[in-house]
Amino acid sequence: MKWLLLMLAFVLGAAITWFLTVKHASRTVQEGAGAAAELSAPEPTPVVSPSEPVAGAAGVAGGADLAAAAGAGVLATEPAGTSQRSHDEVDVDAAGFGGPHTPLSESRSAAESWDRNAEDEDALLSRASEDDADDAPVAEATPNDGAAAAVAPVVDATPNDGAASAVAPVVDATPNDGAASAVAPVVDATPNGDLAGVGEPEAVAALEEEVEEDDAGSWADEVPDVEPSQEDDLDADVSVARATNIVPVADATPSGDVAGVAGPGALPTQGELTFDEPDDSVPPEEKP
Amino acid sequence: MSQQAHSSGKTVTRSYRTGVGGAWWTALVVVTVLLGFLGRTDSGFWSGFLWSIVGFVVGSLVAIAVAGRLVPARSADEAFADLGGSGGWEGAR
Repeated sequence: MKWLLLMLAFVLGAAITWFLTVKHASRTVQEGAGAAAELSAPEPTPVVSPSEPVAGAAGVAGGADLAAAAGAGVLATEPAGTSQRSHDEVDVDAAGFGGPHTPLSESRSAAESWDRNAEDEDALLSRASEDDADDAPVAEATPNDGAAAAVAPVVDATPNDGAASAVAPVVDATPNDGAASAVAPVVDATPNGDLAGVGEPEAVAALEEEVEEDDAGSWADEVPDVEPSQEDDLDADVSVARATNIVPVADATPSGDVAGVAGPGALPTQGELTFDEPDDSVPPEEKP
Repeated sequence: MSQQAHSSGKTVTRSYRTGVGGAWWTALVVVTVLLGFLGRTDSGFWSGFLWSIVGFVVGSLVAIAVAGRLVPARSADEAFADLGGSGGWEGAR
């Protein structure tokens, strides 16, 4: 009896809910145009113009994608079966989660076209970077792209930046320096090759030969004309000013203490042990 | 979604979904109370009443799911959207 009540309630609930939710509406349509419109109503196809913004597109990029797709003929070459779907399918798609499907963009980016199984990370490089590499192969050959282009006109550069700054005609161009773009071409280069390949091919070849010859020696030979000064050496401790009013002392102890500087009443020097005399610590009245 | 042809024109009948509204709650109370009284002699009123609530709710959920699957239109305008502005309303039932 319980299951009978349950099934009866189920049927009644389903029937009542169906009649409450599903409504029917009738509409009279004219025989001519209305019937034609009702029976063969074309599927609304989006009209896209390459030069005009697209309604519903997300920003300029979305409009550009749709415009590119329209220009490439993607929308025009859509499969015929898609445009011939019944109205029910279209309505189901529109009512489903996410709305109706939109055509894919023809121009896929590098990340989208990259095959995960290919394990070719170079495929992620954009075409623009490849074009740049073709246009400027010399700059591409150096490890530091931007720095090499900027360092090109440097006359002389040494590994020691401080020493290089002391040379008068040199424009101080460190790898992080983006300035110095109007100086003479490279005349000399350091053995580490920072400036190699920047100048003209003849100059570069000469530089390479010179560098190969100098490989046997120390790189310090490259800076014989530079006289390192203490002001140029950033590592030097120049915070203490040099005293100039000290009278020269003729005598000094082996430990470096200057004898006689502190006067006769000076404290015992370092390392010496002194002991008070027993009589000095006893008052005179208490002395025996 | 049935279509009825007439001599002067064509009457198109479409279906669409609406909310259940307060009538569903009234039907729930009435049906479950009646079924509770029907099962009073066997297992008592409250047993039949509660099991009737369960059956009614489950049946309603099934009906809503089926209606959502078979009737995509949510309003009369959406049901007749493909007909455009031609024709006139005949009524809803």
